[in-house]
Amino acid sequence: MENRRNKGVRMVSAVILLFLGTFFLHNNVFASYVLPYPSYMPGNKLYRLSRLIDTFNKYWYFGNIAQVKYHLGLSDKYLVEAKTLFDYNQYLLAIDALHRSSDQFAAIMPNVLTAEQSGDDMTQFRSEIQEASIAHKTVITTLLQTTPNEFLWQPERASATRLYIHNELSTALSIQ
Amino acid sequence: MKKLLLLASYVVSTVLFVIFSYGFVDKNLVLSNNPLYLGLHGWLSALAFNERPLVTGIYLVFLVIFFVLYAWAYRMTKRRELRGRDIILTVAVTYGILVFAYSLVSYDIFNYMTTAKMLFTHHENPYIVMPIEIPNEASLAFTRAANKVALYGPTWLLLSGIPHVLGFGNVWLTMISFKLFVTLWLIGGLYLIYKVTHQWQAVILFGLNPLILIEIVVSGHNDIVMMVLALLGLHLLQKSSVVDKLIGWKALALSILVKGATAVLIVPLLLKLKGNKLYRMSFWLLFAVFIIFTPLREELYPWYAVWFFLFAVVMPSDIAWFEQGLTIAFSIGLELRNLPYMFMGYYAGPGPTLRTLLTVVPVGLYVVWSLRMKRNSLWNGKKT
Repeated sequence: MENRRNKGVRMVSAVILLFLGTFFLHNNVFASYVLPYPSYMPGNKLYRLSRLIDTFNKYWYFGNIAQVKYHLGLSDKYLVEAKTLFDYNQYLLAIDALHRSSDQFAAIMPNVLTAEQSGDDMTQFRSEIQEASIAHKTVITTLLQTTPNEFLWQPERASATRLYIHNELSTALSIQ
Repeated sequence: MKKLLLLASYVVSTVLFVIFSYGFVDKNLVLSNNPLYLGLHGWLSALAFNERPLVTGIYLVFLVIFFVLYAWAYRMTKRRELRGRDIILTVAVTYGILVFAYSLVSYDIFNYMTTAKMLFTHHENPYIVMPIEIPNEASLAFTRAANKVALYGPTWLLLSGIPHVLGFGNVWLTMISFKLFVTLWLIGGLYLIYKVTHQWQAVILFGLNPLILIEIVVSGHNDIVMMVLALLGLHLLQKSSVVDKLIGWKALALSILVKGATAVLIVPLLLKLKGNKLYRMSFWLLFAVFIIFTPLREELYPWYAVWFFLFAVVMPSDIAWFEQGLTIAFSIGLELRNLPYMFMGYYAGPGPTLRTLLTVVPVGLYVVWSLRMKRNSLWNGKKT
């Protein structure tokens, strides 16, 4: 009788622990934020057009929430562009894309705050931005491990430029 | 005496319909805290949501009454028992009452209201931001298509600013304001029909058809805006003056930018068709868009019939008897489509089959009847 009761208690405890365990599992799981595929890259005929459309889209994406979407979308796009360029050792262009990505990311929060001041609930967007930030940081951290600290960029017909790649990546990491 | 009886019948039936419609107010929407309204609404709501067979029967009775009155008004006009002034009074009174009805068979008006709010209150681009992305937006509680960006073109979007502003932020007032705005376009359409045809019969044929009453005046669908602009465009494009032609093209362009369906009207214009040939081809092209493309996208919505209906009535009855009859048969069949949902409370299950059946039967019967009439040569010589 005692044994059966103990067995029952142990089973109930196990179920409760298993149930409680799901909370820990829940806390450890992050919704995966998906970065876009690389768009047109420098050198492609449509790259300039794509950049021009990006500029004009700023006016189409009017409104605080639309601006959040605009800046977040571009920050993602330019980060992917930077990563692809880093992968191909195109460091000068990669750093330019990284700057653009960070600039766009920095432009997000003022719009979130303005939207909140006008009474819009931005909880969902705050969480999305946080997820984006994690995804961006993952990419930048990987780049820190796979790129050289510095690089002397020597174009054929111009003077050389020293690129402080890790400094640039660290700055991007602190912004994003 | 007959005129007065017709007017009185419209007054009584529409007043009862307006009261009946408030039973269908969304459960998440409190239009007023007035005890009288709350008491009446509670009773009507219980009837609408709990006594579905009864309420479907009542709705069917209203439809029958509206169609009978429609046929009566048309016959009286044809016999010249109803003059222009009587027609204007009947239409004005009917619209004036029905505009206060709750949109009981469609939720699109709330979509219009919320989209306008996104643009004019939140100052967001409704083609980019969905209403659902502002979780604390109050209208989400009763807007059905909140998970979609704006579905309509910029003409409608900009025009919707007028009723939005006139609603002063009050849901009921905004709803009435939208319906009134759309009804004013309908009245403009009736004026245009008269201007083109010089026939009061055509005005009655369109203006008092129960599909027009329910889908435009009661439900406030913006299709009438698109169609009035299209008819205005085609009417002006047939004139010789350059200014008229220019305004005509602008009107047609604005019409296309309401919903897009009227883009097909460029075809008869390119073919340089004029008069009844132009209107007939416009009718059949819009009918083709309605019957072929709309089921591919979603389903045959009753208010889409407004597209071809307007062109059916601007042609004389003796040459467009088939088109006019077909449109009226469709108006019956399409309005019956509301019955399965009203009866069951859900769209799935036997709903789609029943809706198809209820539409196909009246149209099929009409087509068979008209073919028999033609075979019996009763109509021979009338159609040119």
